[in-house]
Amino acid sequence: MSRRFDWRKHLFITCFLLPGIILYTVFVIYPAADGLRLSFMEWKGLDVTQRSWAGLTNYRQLAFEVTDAADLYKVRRYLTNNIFLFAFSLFDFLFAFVVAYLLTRRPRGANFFRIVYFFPSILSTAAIVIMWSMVLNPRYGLLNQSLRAMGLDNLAQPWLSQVTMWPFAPIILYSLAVIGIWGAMGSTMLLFIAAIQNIPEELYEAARIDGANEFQNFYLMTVPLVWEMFKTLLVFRAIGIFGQFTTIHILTAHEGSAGGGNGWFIANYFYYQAFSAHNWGYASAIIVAVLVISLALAGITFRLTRRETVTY
Amino acid sequence: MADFESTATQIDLTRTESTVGRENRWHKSVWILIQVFLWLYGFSVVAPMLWTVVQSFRDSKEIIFEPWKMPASLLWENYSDALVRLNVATYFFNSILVTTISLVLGVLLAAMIAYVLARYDFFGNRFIYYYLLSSMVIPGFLLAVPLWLMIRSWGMLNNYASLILIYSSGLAWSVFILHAFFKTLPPELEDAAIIDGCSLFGVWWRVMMPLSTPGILTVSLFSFLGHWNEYFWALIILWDDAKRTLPVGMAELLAVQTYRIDFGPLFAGFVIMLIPTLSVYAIFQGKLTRGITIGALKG
Repeated sequence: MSRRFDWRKHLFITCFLLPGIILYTVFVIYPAADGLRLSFMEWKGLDVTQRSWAGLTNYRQLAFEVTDAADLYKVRRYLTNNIFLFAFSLFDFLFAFVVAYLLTRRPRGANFFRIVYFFPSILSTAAIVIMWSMVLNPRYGLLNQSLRAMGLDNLAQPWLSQVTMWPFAPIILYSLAVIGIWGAMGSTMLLFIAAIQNIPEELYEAARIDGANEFQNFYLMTVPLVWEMFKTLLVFRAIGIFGQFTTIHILTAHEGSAGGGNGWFIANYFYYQAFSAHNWGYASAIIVAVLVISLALAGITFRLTRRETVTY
Repeated sequence: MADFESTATQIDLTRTESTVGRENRWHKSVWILIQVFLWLYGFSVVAPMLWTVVQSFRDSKEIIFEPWKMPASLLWENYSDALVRLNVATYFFNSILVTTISLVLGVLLAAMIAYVLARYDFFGNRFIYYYLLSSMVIPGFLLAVPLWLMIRSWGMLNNYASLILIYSSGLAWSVFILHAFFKTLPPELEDAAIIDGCSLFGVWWRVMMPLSTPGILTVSLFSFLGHWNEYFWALIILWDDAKRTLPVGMAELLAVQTYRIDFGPLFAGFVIMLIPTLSVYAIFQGKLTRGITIGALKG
């Protein structure tokens, strides 16, 4: 090929790149940078002239709300709710891993179960929440009516209540945690199945010849070899958990709690500050701070789950 | 193409004689316990959905007071009520409109970028690739305020066009997948097409795009699900009841219908909401399953 500048080629490249890059820059990169800028500004209401630089005021306000002894602003409550759900996802992963392991042992109907279990993963969060809010409805819900039909009336609970507190969190968060498992278990399970199936079969054969039993195979080979997958999922979940918004928004938007309920996540507080109170600067500061917190949580998770890497 | 497909593990759990299944030394009773467990969990996945289907044919009085009695007759009115009186048909149509246009626009733009980045060596190629991927670490909420204010200053709030552009701009993942796909196609094909007198655009449109149908299909499926299920942007951009998309409209109905104590149509609306996802799953189950594991193993 000649080294001469090929106009035709470069025109083609430019025409193909430009539309997408412009769209992406205008709708993703520029707003992201602008969000960072807004977090250092004081801006209330919709009038642009009411905007002014404020230095760290927004962050100081947030620090004040978080450290407030009585937690009047409930910001600590919201963050605790996020962390609670994150801690609960351990059960999610454990359960998905056990199911994945059982399915790779090829029981009868393994493919059928895999297909059924995965389906909730492609439903929208809205659909999942709508369905479960009907199932858990204290009056006509499937769960409470089943409990009553079995004569277990005292086990029937207001499952979606933000007020009734259980250890660590209001009852609605326990419900959300279980709904989360129902909705996400399928895709986690698939990733574990893929990881398990990626382990060469010969390894098990060799171990079996050396006299290892099924339990030893599981504990000494399968678990260490899929550990990387477990770690990756956990780190991603640490970042993703702060994006929790839709679930509680749908369930509580009409309870008329102006200052926020006990079941809110930090993103719901962000939504309230931004789109109800129009504190644009403060809302942006919340999200920037949450980004930092989520990266820290991801870092901690990464450290805690570190162990000798096993490869094959 | 073989390379691309192998980045996703073929997930197949059919019994094969040569592998673990036969060699397994677990006792029969353990297998029975496993079967019981698997059926129980399968039941808990399906039961809530079946329950909503049953409830969608009953009226509020039956739903509240006679939960276990089979309905004497099927109340098909619930469905017409949901579709017409509760606007579910409108929401459904809105969702189809927004999803389809965003899907076509987003995948087309992603395919153009991915093709050029995978096939042409030019100054800044790597930079653009990572520039696009960088959005994977940007939380969506960080964009919400500035983007909403920007769209507001354009007077484009409550307008489908804004929502479509927002959806199409999330093209990082599609570029990532299609880039990997185009890399696996043999470059000799392009050379041959050029020699045969094909234009550069023609090479892409007539040769490369048809060859990458599997990749395009994977990306389209996940884009479809992403746009169809999206809640947050649809919530803040559109507020006219007649413009709402299905997830936002149904979430609103959940509150409204509970307040009205009118549950039958709500259940019917939910069942209508399930149908497209269920159909997509029935047709593309294997494709979706493999798509989930692309790139998940070994980087």
